[in-house]
Amino acid sequence: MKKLLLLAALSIAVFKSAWADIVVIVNSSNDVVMAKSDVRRIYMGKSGQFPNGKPTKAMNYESNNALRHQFDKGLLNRDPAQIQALWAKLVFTGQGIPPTIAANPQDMINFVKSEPNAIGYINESDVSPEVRVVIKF
Amino acid sequence: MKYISACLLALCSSVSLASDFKVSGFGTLSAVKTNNADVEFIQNNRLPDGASDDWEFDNDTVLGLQGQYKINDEWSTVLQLLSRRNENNNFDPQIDWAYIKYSPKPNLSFRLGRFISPVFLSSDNRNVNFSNIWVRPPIDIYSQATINNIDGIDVTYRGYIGDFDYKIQAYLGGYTLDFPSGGDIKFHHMAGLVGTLSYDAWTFRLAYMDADHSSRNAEGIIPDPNLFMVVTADGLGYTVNPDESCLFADEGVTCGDVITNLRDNMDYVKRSHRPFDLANAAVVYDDGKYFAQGEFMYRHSASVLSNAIGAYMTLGMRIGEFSPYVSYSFGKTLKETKYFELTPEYKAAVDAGVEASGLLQTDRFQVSEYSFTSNKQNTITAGVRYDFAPNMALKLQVDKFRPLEHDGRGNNGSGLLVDGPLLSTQNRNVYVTTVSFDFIF
Repeated sequence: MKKLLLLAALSIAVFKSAWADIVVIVNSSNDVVMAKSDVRRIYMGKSGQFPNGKPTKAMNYESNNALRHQFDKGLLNRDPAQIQALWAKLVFTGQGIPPTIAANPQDMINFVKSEPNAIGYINESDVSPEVRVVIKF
Repeated sequence: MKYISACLLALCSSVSLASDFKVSGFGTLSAVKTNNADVEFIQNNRLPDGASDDWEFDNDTVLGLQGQYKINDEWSTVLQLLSRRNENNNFDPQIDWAYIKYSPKPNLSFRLGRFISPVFLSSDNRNVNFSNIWVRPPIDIYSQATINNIDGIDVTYRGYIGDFDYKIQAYLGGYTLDFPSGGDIKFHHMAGLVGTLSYDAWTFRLAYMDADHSSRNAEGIIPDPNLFMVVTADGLGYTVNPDESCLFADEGVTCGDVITNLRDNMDYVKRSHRPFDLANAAVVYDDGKYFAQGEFMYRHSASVLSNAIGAYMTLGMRIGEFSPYVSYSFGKTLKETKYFELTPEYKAAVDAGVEASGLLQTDRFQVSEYSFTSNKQNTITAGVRYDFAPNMALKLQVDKFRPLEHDGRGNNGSGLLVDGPLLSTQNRNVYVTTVSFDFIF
């Protein structure tokens, strides 16, 4: 019975993480108001600044990361491979510097809380009070 | 504990210093063949030879290495080395990009140094095949302007109004492009303007470049070719040269003395300070699942290199890791008709001579159309891109080139070298098959 309960708990956890909402986070000192299109601009290399004009320091995950896949599909409406191709064009034609890569969500949180112009994204369940959520989807 | 923090801080700062210098790269390993032993495919018209009916690996194969150093938030530099088979038939790395960039604001930047003149939509990423759907940008358009680099300055401004994003780029510079013959094309000046507007899945782009070019031989000069002046309706006439005596004139009188615009026509034909203006319009639709991309271009080169137009349309879709696509493209020269103007007495004399010989007369004396390139061809392409691993793609593409018309000084059109009679006279299609592996790192 215990085993069954554990299994149920596990499957709920898996279920939750597969369907968890993603939140876009910025430094707690950053009071910027953002729309989805603002985040899209940054992660698709069309803009290097927040709507308030401050330069962005964006962070992303590797293209084979599950969270990255959910973010690219859900917000950017692209596969990670397409986003990689897009950034390849921008990087090698000098039009942009791609987001730095976080090894895991904790890495992302640490970066965002220490860097005033940072932007990143994590699962809603991983949100800590040290960062500010600007968008949830 | 304090020591540990200090250590961590030191570590952090050294890491962040290292992160300001980045090395990245891209490459393609490709195999190409045609369906014909007499027909060689060349990826660009600076290559001395190409691939015929055996697989060759040196057409699209390329390796690029980029070092990028961010000095601070405003200043950065980029050096990109590119190794691909060149006009000297080797893979010696060339400096493809080398510039210093100044960004006073995140949406405004200036560059000084070497970059690529973005005359067409995919000009500046034409070597980064991973970033494009095809194995290479469509030959019918991209070979109309073998423009690579530009040494100069540019400015880029980006912004948005509501859901419309825009980007404006202006550039100015010059470049000398070397060819296998030892000769070159010198672009005395290149000045361009590019505007891009995107909304939702749509991107629209307009580009114009005003340029001036000369085609020079290995000694760096532009020799006078012989021109042919057509004086009868069925194409008979005289060879004319400004400094030599004219067959139909008195002893000691040069053609330059009797043909008032011979020098102008000579400069026109021989590509001495002739225009190389390019107008380009592009539209892209990409909703993540379906995509379409089309470009149109017009070249005003008013010289032995005739004016030209070209266009393509690519349609495709994404099914998981696979992206099948089809493309149609064409390229076509628009020859101008040029005439010689003779002094009135010599015009009358030549007319009288034609009449006396019983040949058919003509109103005006044309510069033989064989002086100008003439090409017309179209291409149907089908291919598939397979994104099999992060940052890697495999592509298979088949092109059916259809050479329709190549006269005068024209060769067999863009992309093809032929050992034997002109392809257009043989009424033959050429199939080119390419398998390529693209990667970035």
